[in-house]
Amino acid sequence: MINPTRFAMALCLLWMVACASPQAQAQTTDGYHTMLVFPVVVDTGSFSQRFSFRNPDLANPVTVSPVYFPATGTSQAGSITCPSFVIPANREVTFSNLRQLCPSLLSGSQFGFLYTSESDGFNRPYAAFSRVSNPAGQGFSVEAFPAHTFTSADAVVTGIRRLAATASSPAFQTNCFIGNMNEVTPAASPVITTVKMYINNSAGVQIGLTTTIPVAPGKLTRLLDVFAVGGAPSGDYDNARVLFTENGTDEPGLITFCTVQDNSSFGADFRIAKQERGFNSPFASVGAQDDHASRASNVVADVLVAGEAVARAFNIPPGDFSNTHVMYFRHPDWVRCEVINPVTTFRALDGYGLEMRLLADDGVTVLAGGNDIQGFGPIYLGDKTDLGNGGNTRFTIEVESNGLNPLVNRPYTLRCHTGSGHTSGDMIGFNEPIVRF
Amino acid sequence: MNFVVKSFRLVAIAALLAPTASTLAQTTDAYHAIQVFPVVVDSGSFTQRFTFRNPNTTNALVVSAQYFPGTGTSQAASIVCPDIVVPISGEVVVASLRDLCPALTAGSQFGYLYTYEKGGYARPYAAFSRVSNIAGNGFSVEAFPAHAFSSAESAVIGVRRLAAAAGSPAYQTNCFVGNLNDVTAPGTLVVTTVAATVYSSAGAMLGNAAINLVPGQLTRLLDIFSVVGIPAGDYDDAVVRFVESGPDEPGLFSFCTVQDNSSFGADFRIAKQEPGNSGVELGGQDGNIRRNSTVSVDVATSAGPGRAFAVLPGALGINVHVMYFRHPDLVQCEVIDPGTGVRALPGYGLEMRLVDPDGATVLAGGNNVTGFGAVFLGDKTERNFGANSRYTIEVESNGSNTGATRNYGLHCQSGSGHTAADLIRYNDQTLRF
Repeated sequence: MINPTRFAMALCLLWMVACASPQAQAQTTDGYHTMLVFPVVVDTGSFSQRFSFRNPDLANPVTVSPVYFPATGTSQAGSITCPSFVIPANREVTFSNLRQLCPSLLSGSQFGFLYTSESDGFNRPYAAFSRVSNPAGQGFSVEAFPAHTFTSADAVVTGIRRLAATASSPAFQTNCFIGNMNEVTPAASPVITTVKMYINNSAGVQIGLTTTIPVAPGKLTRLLDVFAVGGAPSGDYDNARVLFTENGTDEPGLITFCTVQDNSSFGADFRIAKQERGFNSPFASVGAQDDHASRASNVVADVLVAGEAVARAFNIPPGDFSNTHVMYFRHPDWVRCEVINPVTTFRALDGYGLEMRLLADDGVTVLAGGNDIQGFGPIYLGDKTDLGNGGNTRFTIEVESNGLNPLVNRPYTLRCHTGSGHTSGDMIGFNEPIVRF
Repeated sequence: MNFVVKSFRLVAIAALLAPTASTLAQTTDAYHAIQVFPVVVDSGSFTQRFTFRNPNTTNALVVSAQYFPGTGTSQAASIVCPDIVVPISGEVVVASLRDLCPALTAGSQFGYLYTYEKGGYARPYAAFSRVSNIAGNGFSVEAFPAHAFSSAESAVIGVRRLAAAAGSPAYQTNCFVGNLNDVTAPGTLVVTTVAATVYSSAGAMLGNAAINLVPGQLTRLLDIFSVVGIPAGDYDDAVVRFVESGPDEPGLFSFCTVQDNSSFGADFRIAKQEPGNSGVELGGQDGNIRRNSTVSVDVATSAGPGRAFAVLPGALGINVHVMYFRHPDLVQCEVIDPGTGVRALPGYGLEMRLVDPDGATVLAGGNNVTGFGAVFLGDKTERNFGANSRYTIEVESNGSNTGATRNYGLHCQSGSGHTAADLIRYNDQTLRF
């Protein structure tokens, strides 16, 4: 006969392992890449993880190579290079469990993360999905993330909780995880990255202590009951948030997430940490640490070109000249841009001698700006149907003389804000001897 | 309670909740100014708890929300819900969809929720929700940025319909197709037709159905295998493909839930964008992150059509293209001779190389090289202080072309996407390598 208490404890222990694999996890509609990472994979006596890989290429197969990286504290000592497998053209390959995918996995309960890559050398993207379940079908899903999405940006998980059980609700517990992506071209000595963790309550006040967690490349560390790890006084916490900040100069790809579980049904959800502020980039702002998708940028020069001592500065010479910047936006979105006078650091006035406008990718449709305009407040780029044949596309910003500057060079900063990110305003036309509007 | 009746009620609840998958996260890049919850729900048994976070350390932000009902629910039309003010560097928690949208009609409701920053500053925020019953069981639904939805063909993999067996429950797959509301609506709503086709694990087409959607509509396809007319029986590891037809190219969101009919657990599988509207290029309908592009002209400007990629005759002449890649990634590029349609030979008179954002480190290519096979851009730590960045590709004369202008296409492939090789130097009269 099953002892209910022992059975519950056994379930809990299983969950402690399985909780590394959250209840479910999707990623984005942009799911095809050639390097995909499952932030967590698991194999226990009760739970198996079923993997599906899809090759959308109609003509060519794709070879995928997986490598398993064990979590700290599990019995698997080192990473495992698992057998490569081939996905036929326009087909899928399914593995019924992690052990089938990585046969040399040590016996017993295991969890870690899984790095996969296309190994044909042809850059053929694939998608990957997995479902963790017990024989009764209960479980959760884990999708793969593209490797590039993990950075050292400050990252936050919201809505976490630790609550004691009440008559009408179960106890809740939050576990968090910090991973450091494996290096494909590793340094001679692995750099240990220090991640600091802060927990704030629902009023925004820090609780407990700032906790420091060292993580080496290819490692995943679990923080069981993150409130306890963070030194929070005992008691209930609801709608708290946890902040992860990387310290140091290495800027690795960090994988951070939490699971909020209820301790009755052992259900849980998975909350990937959201990149809140990228650093060590000239365009650091709210959002990801990704210069493709800056939310707020102040750019004064082009990318450095080989053979040139310095990057080409944004500047309009005296007389009738213009620059053309190309910008990638992601519509529907709001965009605002302005030309900044570097002396005042504010929007340039008419007398500074510049004007600007924003054009659609047809080169004809003026979306904002114009004569004697140095900036525009948020404009709605349009619905998906309105631009780019339904695809995100590029736009141009023209900055030119407004006729009020006959004598001196006018350097400027191009400042833009967007809701979903933009590129850096690269100049595809520089000091052309013409004004266009 | 009669077990059959109880089971039926649970099925009904699960069917209603099926659009809300077991959990749905999105990406680490989650701060945007327009965010969509693909599904929201309010029923007698389940409530959905919403969290909105403002990362701005100096300004509060105002989020506006609009609810769009699922087809067949009793809510007749969309509802503009009260604004939400999220304090500086803080969160706002809303206990239920009904609290968020008090005008919601009574009874069980599901649909999708469109939210945006209303203050006019394009200030990004993140949004998360958790659906649960009183016992805490449930699932999570995160918001997607509106731009992520397009008319690209898309697929959901690993779906199943299985009868219960001794050791396992019955499985059912429900799918959903939504058409994002227009903010700048045309005078007449455009009806978009989406074909949903189911393929077996062996790749054979099993059946299909057409779904008509207007903007702002979410339609559920309960038991997708039945909807597309597949005979009774078990199917495992099947694929559902969604293909939009028509010229409008709206923002479509498609997803499936695979539920077990014993515990009524389910998961959520957002459809992955496969070919974009080109019909052949993988990786979505997004010119910012193309996977396989051949570009031969620049973006059009007010000066006229885009400049053709070409190097003028003579010993000198170079073009510099800027490319945004997302590392770690594998990248391969080549110069295409438009006369042959394949990689240019040295005799064509061109050469190319790929240069790091530092403007100094040559990553691939060089003298008399017209293309390079997949190059690993490096681990996160190795480029641009750990941030995705821009690179340059230089295409120049190799000294063997003195007689003719050499047009070319720049063909690049990457695993995670790249931009369109915009020209930041055009026919500079110099050589750099």
